[in-house]
Amino acid sequence: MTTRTIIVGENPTVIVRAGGSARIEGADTDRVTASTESRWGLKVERRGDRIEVEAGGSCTVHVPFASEISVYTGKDAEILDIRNRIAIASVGGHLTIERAQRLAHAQCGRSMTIDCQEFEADRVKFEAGGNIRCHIANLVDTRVMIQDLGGKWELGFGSKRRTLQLKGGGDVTLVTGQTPDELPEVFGQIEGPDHSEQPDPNSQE
Amino acid sequence: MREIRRPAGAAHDLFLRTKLIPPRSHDNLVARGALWARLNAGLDSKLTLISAPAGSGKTTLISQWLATRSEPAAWLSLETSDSDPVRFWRYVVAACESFDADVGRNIYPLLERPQRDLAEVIPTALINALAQANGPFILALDDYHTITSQVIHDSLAYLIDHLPPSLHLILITRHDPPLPLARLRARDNLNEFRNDDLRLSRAEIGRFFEQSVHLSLPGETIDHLETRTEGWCAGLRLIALALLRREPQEVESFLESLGGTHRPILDYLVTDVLFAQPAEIQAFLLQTCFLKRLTGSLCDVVTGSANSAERLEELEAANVFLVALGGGWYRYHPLFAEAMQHYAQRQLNDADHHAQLERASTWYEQHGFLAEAVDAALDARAFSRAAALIEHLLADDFPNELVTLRGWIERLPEAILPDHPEIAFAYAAALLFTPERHLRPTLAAVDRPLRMAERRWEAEENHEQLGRVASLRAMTSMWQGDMPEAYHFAHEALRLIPESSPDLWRSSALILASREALDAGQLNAAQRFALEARALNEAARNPDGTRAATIIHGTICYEQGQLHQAFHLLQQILTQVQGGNQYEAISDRGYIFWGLGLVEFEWNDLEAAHQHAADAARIGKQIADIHLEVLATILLARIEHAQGRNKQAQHLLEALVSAAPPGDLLWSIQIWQAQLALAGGNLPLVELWRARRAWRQGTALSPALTAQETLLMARLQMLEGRPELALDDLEQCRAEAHAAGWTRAELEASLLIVQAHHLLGDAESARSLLNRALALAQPENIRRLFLDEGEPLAAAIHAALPEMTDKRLLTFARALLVDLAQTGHHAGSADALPDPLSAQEQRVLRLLAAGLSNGEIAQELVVSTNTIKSQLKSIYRKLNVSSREEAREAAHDFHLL
Repeated sequence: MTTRTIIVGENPTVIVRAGGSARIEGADTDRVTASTESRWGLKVERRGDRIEVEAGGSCTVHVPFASEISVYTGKDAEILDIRNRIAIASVGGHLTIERAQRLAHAQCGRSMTIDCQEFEADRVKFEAGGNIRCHIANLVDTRVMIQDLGGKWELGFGSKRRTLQLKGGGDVTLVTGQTPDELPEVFGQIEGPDHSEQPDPNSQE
Repeated sequence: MREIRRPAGAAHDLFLRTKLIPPRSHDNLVARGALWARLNAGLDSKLTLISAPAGSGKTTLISQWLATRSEPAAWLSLETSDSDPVRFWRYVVAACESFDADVGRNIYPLLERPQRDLAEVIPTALINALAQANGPFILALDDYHTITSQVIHDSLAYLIDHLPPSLHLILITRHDPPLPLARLRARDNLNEFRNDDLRLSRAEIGRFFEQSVHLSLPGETIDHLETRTEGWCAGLRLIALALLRREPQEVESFLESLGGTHRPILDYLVTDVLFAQPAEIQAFLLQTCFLKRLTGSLCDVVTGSANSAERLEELEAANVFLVALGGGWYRYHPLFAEAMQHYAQRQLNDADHHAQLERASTWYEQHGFLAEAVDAALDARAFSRAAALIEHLLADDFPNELVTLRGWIERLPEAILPDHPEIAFAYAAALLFTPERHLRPTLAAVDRPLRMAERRWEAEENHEQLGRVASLRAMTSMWQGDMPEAYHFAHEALRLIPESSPDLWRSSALILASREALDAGQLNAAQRFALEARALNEAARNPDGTRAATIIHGTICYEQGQLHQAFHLLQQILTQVQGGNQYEAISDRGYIFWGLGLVEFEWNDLEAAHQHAADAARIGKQIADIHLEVLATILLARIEHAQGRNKQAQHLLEALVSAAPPGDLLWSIQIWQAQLALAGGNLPLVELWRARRAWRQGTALSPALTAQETLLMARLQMLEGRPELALDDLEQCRAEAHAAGWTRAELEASLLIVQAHHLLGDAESARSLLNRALALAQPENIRRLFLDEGEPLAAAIHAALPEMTDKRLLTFARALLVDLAQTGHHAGSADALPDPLSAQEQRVLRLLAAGLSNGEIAQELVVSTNTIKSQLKSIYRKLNVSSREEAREAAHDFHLL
């Protein structure tokens, strides 16, 4: 295991480039710590006002919660607990983003799972080679345009002044707590939550 | 929290599903049992070809026959606009989904990729998908003569060659397609039906008139009909329609009135039948005969009437010209449609006709058929509308149908392009991404629309789009062989396209920037660009870009001394291009072979390296890529030299000099000529290089060649007994290489510095640097850099051996000495081992390496186990190892097996 650490403060801009997979995790820390079990090199360097992590193979990177990050990986990427902004996630394999605040760009070669609070800019496109499962908490005033294996469909929330495009090579599932407007049956259906495995909150046990 | 999903089948899409429906057969058609029997018998072959002129009854025959079969059958009615390879395969795959709904799951994403070897990739994916489905299946492609794309013909030939046994293909065409029919015929894989086969016989003509118009014709009349029509189905059908309105006694005179060949007969008959219709039906037919497919609401819009659906039903019931496709859709029989269009063009004025087409375009747009909307707008000469629709499609991820796009844009007046920069840019890209991209005229053709887009975006200060223009220019320059200009535009693109818009234009600029940094020896920068480019291309599922980025990444890893990673990366992508016959696949295979050869050479696996280098050189010649040919031949020469065949090495390079263009490639050959000559003691050739170098003063070399020249000069100075002169340059070279992450150059400079210190008697400095070099080289088994230095370095290593304490480095150094000895540079393996193994110990070691236990070795050598144990202790001590595994490795390294 090779580990490199650099002190960065609370809200650095971090760019991760990995030939293999990467797991990037937000943590209560003031440093960027990268580690790899691969012997194909690991660099953590300050270049200008950015911290750049480069791994020939796969790596795990811990960054401060409030980091702004960009991630480029040849294989999979897991990005967890980034409470600032994910500027770019461009991933050759599967992409998983959990508990993120803001997402600006996401693209991956295989499946994509996104869980974030909001997307950035007025027109954003997330694209995956396989299935997309997407939960974005704030879809206010958004027109969601979806293209998947079965064709194109769309739905809207409020004024629709913003556009979110989800393009998947497999099936696209949008998970939302908001009620879409004017969703004709031909364009989609809303399924209730699956409570089969969740505990009943009123249960006495 | 809710989940929103598209319910199956509910989404609207871009397919015209009506093209996938076989025409519905009428009950009153003549059953053609003999032909059906031949079709049934031909199912064992791969392909059934129905090749006959229009109106011969091809489509009817197959649709009737398919209705009698129990196997799942798919149908695709082709038309001229399907001559786009992407569109063609999209429809073929959609048709095959009737066999198995999952067939397209992995193929549609492939069709969206901007790739160049479509002719094999898509059929291969389809073959694999169908091989997993439960057959047998029949796929019929109707009107294949409308396909004019050679790429489609090639890819269909590939599909037929590799057709899974579960699939039988039927091609219905007006003339023979350019497919390898002779080969299929020779292998008994072709079931053919031609015009003579399809003609209605005398008996069939009689039955036809009885069934279709309830006329029992006398034998003489049937003979007459057979003579006049030669059993031509369409003619007989029209005659039957015409006879419906005549008395039986008029039949003969009517037949007498028919003259000429099929075409005049057809025109006459169509007109005859048309005039027999009520005026409103005539108007309806003439107004709608231009539509490829018809449905009630579309016809309402075009004709301005409100009862088109009923009219279509009536026409279909009357069995006039219309074929029902199901779901309220119809199409005219193509032959009749052509004749009616011919007539309509004379009857309708242009303005009315264009107005109808424009209304059709609007209907198509409103119903989501944007491609059809563009076609209709272009037919209507409504160019502004067509341009707006094309822009809409481009903004909305138009599928990768560049042939279609190019065809549309070429129908627009050029004056419209400056106002539509997106269309001008897309046109430039469509012109570039063709097999002619290497040719000089392509440059001028691409430049014209590109300038139009550029001017508009400059005026709008749209930097991001200007970045894409720069990226396209970079690719154009690269394919034209102008690398400095390609690099210039690539940097311009990276400056203008923000990191926050990581699209394929940015990623292709990144690949070029990486290549430039690699050429400049800036390995750290090259790796950053390559990693980013690889991720972007992988994420966008762009296989060509991914391969290009991975080949560069592999080469970077090699220069960084990461040989295992380089080998792994290159092997990984080699599997993607194995067997591909397209230019890009062959070219990529050549560069991959070259990269693998480099790594194997560095590992001193000369046999494998020779094989790969020879393959790469052969591919370089085959595809006329002089760059690849030079790189591979230089590697071959180095291998020949390493094997002691100096003359052959020089011959290879000499032959290359005459083929290489002036510039870096030529100088690179000349430097290697000098370097190998110096190593082989051929000093006149080295002097020639030195003289050439002096003449060339002032001409800038690439940084990599400059470094190589510096190292060669240092070798020469040491040979001339002036090592002190070389040290400064070597130290600078080593420091620069270290800063740039260029491990190979750093190592090479270090080894020369070691030799210089050794020659100057500075044993401590030599040993210290040698240890560092060994520590860099040992994990990746970098050998040739050491071995190529020969005797002077062997002496330095030998001198440093007694002070070496690190066991791994010591073993590696000794193994290098053995290799050096084998190449004749230094003493033999006995010298490498301070205490050589006895003959008995060598026997024990060989058995150990073969995997035998102590007991088995004892039994084999007829001694006790204790004796073997003590001999193993001695072997471990002499090899400086502490386990059986290490002993095996050392035995291999020291060539003791």
